[in-house]
Amino acid sequence: MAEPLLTVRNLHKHYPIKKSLFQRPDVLKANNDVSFDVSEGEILSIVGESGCGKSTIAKMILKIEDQTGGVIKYEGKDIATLSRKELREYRKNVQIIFQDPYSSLNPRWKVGSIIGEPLLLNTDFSRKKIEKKVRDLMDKVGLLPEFYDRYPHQFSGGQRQRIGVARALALQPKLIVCDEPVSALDVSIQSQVLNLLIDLQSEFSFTYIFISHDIGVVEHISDRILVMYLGKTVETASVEQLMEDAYHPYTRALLDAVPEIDPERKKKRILLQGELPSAVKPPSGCLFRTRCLYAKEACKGISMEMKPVNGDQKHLCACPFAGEFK
Amino acid sequence: MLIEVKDLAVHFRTDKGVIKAVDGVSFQIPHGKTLCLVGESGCGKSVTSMAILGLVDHPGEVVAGEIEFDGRNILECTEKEMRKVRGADISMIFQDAMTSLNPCFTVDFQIKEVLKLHQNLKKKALHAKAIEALEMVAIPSPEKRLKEYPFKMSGGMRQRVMIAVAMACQPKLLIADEPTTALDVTIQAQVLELMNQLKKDRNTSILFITHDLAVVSEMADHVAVMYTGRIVEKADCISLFRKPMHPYTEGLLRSLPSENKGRRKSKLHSIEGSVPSLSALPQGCTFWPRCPYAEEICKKEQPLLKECESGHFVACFKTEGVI
Repeated sequence: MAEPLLTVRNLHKHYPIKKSLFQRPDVLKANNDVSFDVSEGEILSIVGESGCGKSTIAKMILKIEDQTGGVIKYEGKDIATLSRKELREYRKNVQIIFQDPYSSLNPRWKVGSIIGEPLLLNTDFSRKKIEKKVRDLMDKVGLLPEFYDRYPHQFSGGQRQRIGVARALALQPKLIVCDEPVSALDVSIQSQVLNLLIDLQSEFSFTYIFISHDIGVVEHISDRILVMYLGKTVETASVEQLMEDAYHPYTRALLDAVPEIDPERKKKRILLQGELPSAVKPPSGCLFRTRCLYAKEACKGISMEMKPVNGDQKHLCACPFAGEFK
Repeated sequence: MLIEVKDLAVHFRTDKGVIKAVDGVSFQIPHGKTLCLVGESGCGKSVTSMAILGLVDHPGEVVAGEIEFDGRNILECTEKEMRKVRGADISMIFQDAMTSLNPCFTVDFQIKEVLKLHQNLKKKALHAKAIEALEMVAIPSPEKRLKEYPFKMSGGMRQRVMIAVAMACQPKLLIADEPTTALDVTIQAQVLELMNQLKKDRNTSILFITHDLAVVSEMADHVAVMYTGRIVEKADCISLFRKPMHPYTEGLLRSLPSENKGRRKSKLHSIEGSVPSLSALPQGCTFWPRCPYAEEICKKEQPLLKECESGHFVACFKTEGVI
């Protein structure tokens, strides 16, 4: 098998929370022992409730934040040890599309400069060449040529998200991290942007890491899904497998909670009781046991290690008892 | 009928001219039923609900229409009379619980405030009622929670408190403006179930405003789809989802990823273009620039809401059979 494009191993991110000067700070474990691989051309989705550490992973992959422990390898190289020059190269290859198209574009800049900025900083293209490139990019993402000299506030949400996409594409990256790229958009616009992302992927064979809480969107776009809960991974599998044969009780509850579009088929669902426990004082053993329907004494002592389900190396699950009540 | 809205029009006078945020909207809600108003941002859903509560602010103005609530036209009520209606007969829950609850006061204060205003209760009875309100929305250890401030609670919990405040006086109509949009799916499922339970137990009518069609199919008895300030389709929930007749509704439903099951990564259906600005609406049917079936007549004349099948109203020349 080919080397994965991105390898994440035992990733930890802890934030100290100061209580007072003389007390030892509490630790918020935003990510706790997260491991996964992303192969080239694959779309991996990370799903989970808010506060489960999805976006923290994105930040660490982009090196906006440094991890507390663990390794992120890009094309076999640990990104923590990159030299300045290598880091520059790395940042060209890894780009992000943000959730909120209102706050992620500089309101004082024109569209042309926003999309052209990465080119200006990272290449030695002439002004003319940059303008030509930007116009090509705008055409690619479906923005009209006359938009070149306009400001972000003159656009609707969907068009702004297209500007964000064009900016991410400017340096022809290999890996694009999409942090909730469509959740701020209206339904009719959502499908336009999703179509754009899918089209671009089939044209340039990008690798996406797609972060979302919308299961419907995730199911449509991804190859593989990683489910997270309170900073830990609980299950990972291919989309087909996860949708048909979810193993972990949390994954099943999460899928169950998604409202069904068919009013004639009101589904009988298992409602999750309670809410996400605090990440500062998480429960011992299995983190999910406080809300789990099948929780038992033994759950207090387990380590949530990701183990293959039925010997399938591609379907990993963190619940050792999942097979019993399935 | 508990409430009947007839030809409601709300206009905003701005520098750019008159903006017709709501332009001739009519609907009814019977006792104990839920009507969902669906539409994209800026289609006038929220303005409609504000008009019902008499809360349309300058430069907005209700310029036409009637809102008959429980036998009287509340648009003719004075401010003093409206204050008696708000919170007691009609109450509202908002999308963002953190900004709608007052951060400076405890939950206790905020629940009792509405009870004091509308019901003449002794201290003990008041307290019992407040506890009862929290129990009703399934908040664990209500005695303890009463003394807490909103910021101590999670999003789902705050939304429950807001529902408790809204339901404390047992209103006949509950207006819910995107109540679950800010919540996670698991918490959303809890809150939706809670609202359905309250509807059943108390026979409350709900006006549910949302943009999420999946939530609509879970909650609604009747659905009204809005576009640029008008209702374009109105029907009971099952026939709307089974047979959407307006091209806009049809497009919305088809663009959902869940409607494309089994065809992963295939192109999703999408409605071309974007919602026009209310200050520059196209002539004729406001949907024609995005409509795949548009003909000459659509660009000139505005289709009216007509009954196409029993109980199923559509405003489109195509379903009418003109084109």
